[in-house]
Amino acid sequence: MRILFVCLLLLLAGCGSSGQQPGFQLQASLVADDVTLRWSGAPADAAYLMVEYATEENGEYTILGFLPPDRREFQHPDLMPATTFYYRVTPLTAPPGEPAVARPRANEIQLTWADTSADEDGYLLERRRTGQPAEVAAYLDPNTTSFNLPLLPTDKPATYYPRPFRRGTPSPVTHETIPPA
Amino acid sequence: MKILRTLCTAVVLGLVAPTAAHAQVEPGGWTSYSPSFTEQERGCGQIDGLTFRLTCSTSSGDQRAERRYATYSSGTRQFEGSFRITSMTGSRISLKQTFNESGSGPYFMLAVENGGRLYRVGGDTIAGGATVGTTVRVNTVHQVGSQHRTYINGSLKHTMSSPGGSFYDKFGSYRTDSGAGPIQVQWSGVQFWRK
Repeated sequence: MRILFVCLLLLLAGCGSSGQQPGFQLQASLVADDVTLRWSGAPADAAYLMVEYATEENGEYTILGFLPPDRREFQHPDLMPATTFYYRVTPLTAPPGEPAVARPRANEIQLTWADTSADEDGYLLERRRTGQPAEVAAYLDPNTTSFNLPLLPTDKPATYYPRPFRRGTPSPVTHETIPPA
Repeated sequence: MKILRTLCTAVVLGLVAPTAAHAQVEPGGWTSYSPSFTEQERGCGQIDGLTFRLTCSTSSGDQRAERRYATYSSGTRQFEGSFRITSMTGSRISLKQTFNESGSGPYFMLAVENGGRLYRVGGDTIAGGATVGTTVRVNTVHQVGSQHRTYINGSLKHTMSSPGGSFYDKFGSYRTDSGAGPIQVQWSGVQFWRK
């Protein structure tokens, strides 16, 4: 009992001192079977905000998207009935670098680059096209130095930037339960 | 201090939180079960655990690396699994099938096209291009004789009516009539429920 009491004191003393990014807030709202996420206070140095969901509180998270850092909202529509969805938003820092060396092939583009980063959590392969916002084309393992990116016939010419990323502190987890159908 | 705090957190949470955690699925009454399966390696198909490969670019013949699960013919069945395409220079590869054993064959076939577009073979786009390298979660809910629903990352993306009969689930990688490898796909979190 004494150990438990000490633990509780330690936990209370530690509240707010680590874990969550101060001021980074995430809220979910439910209309019918659609969830809208809204957040504020995301770190200003984030290159992308990674939105994820899980259907267990401590479950495996699945990536829903990589959003530009100025986005404040995300919609997750037409969700499974009678299911609880847990959400978090994780800022990714990713210093810009040089474009990958590109060798076009029939249905893909072969990209290579030097791994100049240490301790990255992975690489974001960023696609940049004239007049369009940059987007994440591929999410790659750490220490990756080449990738054959599949292309669609409609894909326009682009430049690809391998950006080593690190995960920042995620937002608090929020959840919504979808009503039965 | 950090270790102590973590340990204490676990102690406290252990007193108030249930330890069992199961994925929440469509409305209640589901029972988790583990149907038997066989592995099918044909042509240049290779299976290593939950990694499924087509190693050739052959655009003809039977090229498959799949798990074929036990047949069912009544009730409602749910499949859940996540896939991550780790390399793909081919196109139009089936990843998940609900196969109509007593009918005309692959009643529902979820396939991926070059670039990440998910589509139903013989039908429309099911989901737009997933970012290459990310994990995609698939749930299919099949009410035999009524309806078959497909959820991608939790969102309902496809609904079709279902005849009665005998069906089974398959997943892995399989060259469709218009497709060709190579592809390597990693599956995880495969679960089944019934009611």
